[in-house]
Amino acid sequence: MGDLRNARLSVHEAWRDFRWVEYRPFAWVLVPELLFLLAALRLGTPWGMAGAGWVLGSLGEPGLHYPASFLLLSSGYARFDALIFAFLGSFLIPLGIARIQAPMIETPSTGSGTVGRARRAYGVTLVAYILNFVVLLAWEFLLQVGPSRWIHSFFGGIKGDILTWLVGILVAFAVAAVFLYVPIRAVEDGATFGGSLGGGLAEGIRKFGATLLLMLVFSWPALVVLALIQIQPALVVTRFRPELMAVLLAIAAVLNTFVNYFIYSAGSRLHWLGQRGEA
Amino acid sequence: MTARLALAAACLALLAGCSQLDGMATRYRAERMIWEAQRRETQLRIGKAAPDSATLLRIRAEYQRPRLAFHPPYFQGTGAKADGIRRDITRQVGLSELTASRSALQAHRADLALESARWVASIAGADTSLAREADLSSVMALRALRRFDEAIATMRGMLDRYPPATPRTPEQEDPILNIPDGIIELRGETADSSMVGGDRAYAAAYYRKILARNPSPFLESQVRARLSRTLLEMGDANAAFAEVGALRTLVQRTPALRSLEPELLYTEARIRGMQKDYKTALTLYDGIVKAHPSSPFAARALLDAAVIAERMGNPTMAIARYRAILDRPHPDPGLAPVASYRMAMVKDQIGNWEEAKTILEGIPTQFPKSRAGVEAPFAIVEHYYRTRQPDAAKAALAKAIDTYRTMIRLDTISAYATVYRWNTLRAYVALGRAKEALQTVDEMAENDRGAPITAEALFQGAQIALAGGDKVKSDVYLQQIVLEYPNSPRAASVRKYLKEHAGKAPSR
Repeated sequence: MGDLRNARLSVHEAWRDFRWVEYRPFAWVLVPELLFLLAALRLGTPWGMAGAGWVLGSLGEPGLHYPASFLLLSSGYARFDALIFAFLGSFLIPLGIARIQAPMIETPSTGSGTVGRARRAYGVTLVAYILNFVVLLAWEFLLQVGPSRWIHSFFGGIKGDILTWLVGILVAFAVAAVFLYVPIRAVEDGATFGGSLGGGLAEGIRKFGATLLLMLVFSWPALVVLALIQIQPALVVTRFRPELMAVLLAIAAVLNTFVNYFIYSAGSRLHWLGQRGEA
Repeated sequence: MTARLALAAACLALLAGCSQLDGMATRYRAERMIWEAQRRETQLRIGKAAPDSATLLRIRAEYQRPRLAFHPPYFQGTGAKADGIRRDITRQVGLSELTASRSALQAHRADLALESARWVASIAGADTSLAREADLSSVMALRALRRFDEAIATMRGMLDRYPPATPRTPEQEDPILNIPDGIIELRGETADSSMVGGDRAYAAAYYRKILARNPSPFLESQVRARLSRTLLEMGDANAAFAEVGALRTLVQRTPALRSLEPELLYTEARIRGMQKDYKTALTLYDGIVKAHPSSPFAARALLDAAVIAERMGNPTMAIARYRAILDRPHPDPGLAPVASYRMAMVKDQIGNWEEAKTILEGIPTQFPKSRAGVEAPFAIVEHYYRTRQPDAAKAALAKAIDTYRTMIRLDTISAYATVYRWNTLRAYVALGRAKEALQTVDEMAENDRGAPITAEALFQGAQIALAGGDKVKSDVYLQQIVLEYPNSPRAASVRKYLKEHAGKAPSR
């Protein structure tokens, strides 16, 4: 009950105390993502084909043809996003968290100390991200062979698609909630690899309900856009314009940077409140 | 040295990669342009069940954009992958141009359709599939232009150029095997039935040429089945029987060909019928209907059995079989009009004229693109002449004219439009309405130029004009026969007539 009250307080504070300097590392992740989407929009040029073709081509030959490339763009973007988050995000997210935590521990938000904490957190954040990714892949597979079939046997057509997507998203959020505290712990002074990973997972499990709540509170605007892209990509491509997929994905990407910032900001506050409570 | 080689190799790889990227990007742009054309077509067609010619020509212009925007070799670069991308682009551009060709054809601009189809054939190169589609489009355009001989020559050329592909399953058949039947059908549509025999012989020779190349069992079965049917249509029952025997041996040897059983039984029954062994033929036909009711040969068996029943003087048995063809869940569009027409004839013979008349009146609207649809209105006229009811015959002739005019309006580019106009002319002549008859002759001269029956219409027109005292018009028609139909059966006598009467009367 206390966790839920703290979560509500963290959400409120994170929203109220938005600071550009803390958000900036999350926005840097956006740069390659938007460049990728721009290249995907311009596959009719050699530089567009060079920029996005290698990812879309990895989804099969249709990824390099019009308008199928836009049908597969959501999957291609997810692959690219996964790569960016793994290798770039493993540094930038801890950097953002370090800046969020700086006022709490009364240190400067920028400077070598903050960067040093983020650099130390790189390894464990990358490992946690890869673990999270593997669990999500397994869940994707299980979803298709199990729940998706059961849901579609009860609800046909679009209703079944929406329900399957909601179940998929909810479980993906639940997995992410468990891993949320690994980078938050990793940027703390004196953090170790094992302590950050084990302690982070344990904290994620302990505060599961509160963490899931704050994630859902901040994520819904991005989810609305994502739902359209992921549930009915053919509708967007055939009824409107294929290029609209790239525009929607760009909107979702921008929204996601804010969502990530607010989630980690609220998560850091929840973690800090928890530590103060224990003390 | 090693570093320089590595650098050179890296530069080459980069250049090769760049040319492929350029090619892939070009292909992507071509695909996007075609998609835009499809989208534009959808917009232009909204709210128009049958778009007018202007709209169709706008659609054509959209699909012609890739042809105007992309020119071989499309991009720089060499290698197998670059060549593959080039083939893809050619195919995309070619298919778009063929869509433009179809739009032009629908817009009654067969000349533009033919130009597009021939352009695609010129760029198709080693892409046999695209070349085949281009040739088929050429045939369609030539048909619409009434250049039947050229259409048939193109179809024959296709048979020489594109050997049939070996099917993977007995059900899969290369459409090229339909071409010989297509030639025969086209000749039938042009009402030049005298040459159908030659076309059948050509088809049989083509099938035998394929069989001489030791084809795979599936292809062999398809070709032998077609050959036996063609031989039967040629009236060579013994040769057809020999082919059926060979096919039966092949089916016994190849378990995957068991589905050919109904066709084998059907061919055997037809041969029995030709040999006047009606009892055995009927037993075999009934066996097909009973054992293979969903096979397309069941409908054919019913039709042939009904014809045999007619020959045996059993109208009840014949009518029951014709009715069974029409009552099938999806009546065969080729057989249903024949069954309707023949059922009406049998009902007339047994004195049930009212029912026969109702059936005959319904045939042109139910089956507009059929020989039965063309003949049914005249069958009503003939009944009244036969039963000495001249007033009813005249009324039926007037109704026949209305029916044919409606049919022409519904599909102005149909190959049957020529025959509808010819029958309209016959009806006007029978009604003694010379003015309308001559108008119809003029319509045929304009719309059906090149069709053999048009030469006959012009001859009829010359006679009507002469009988009406208009020798100038008569001579114009006759000179048209000499100039435009030099190989028609009437040409020699007309030429002689014009030579004898030269200078005796004014002429164009």
